Amino acid sequence: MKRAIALSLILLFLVGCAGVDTTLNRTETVTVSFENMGLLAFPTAKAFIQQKEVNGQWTGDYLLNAKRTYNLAVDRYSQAIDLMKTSIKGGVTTPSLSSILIEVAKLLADVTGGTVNTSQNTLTLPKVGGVK
Amino acid sequence: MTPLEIELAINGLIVLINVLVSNIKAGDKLTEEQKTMFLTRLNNIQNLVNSSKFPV
Repeated sequence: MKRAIALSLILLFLVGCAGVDTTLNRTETVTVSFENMGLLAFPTAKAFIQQKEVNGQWTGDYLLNAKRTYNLAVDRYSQAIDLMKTSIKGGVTTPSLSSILIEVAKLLADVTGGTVNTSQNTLTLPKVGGVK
Repeated sequence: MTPLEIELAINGLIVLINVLVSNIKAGDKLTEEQKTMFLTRLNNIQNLVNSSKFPV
């Protein structure tokens, strides 16, 4: 009887360990609306790229391309802000702000393995340390 | 204000601006003081993002 109880306890311990491992293996993400990319998505994407570089997971041309893609997203987002400023000053804004924001979101998604939801205007990115 | 409160305030500002931008004449609806405030904050965000570029 004591042996059965001991085995049950060991089994429960092992199941518990398996549960913890499952939790740690999930991918943690952050979802932001297109309007909030400047303050949330860019720092998240940059930290993600830097982590890949520090860990040695991304090197050479692949890393260089990732950084260039990020920089391109920065340039396009800067253009989007210029459009906002033009609008505030009372000017006409073309091309559309939303199309540029979608382009920026897709660039950041491409470089991090994230996803873009154009129907809800959201970008989902993996968080640093969120992928085990 | 806490960092979170500041972030939420700025985020709210950007949402507002995005709504305004959808109207071509949005600028006409703002006072000069409001325009200055929005432009200053947009400049800050733009500088913040631009400074995050990788040196490649």
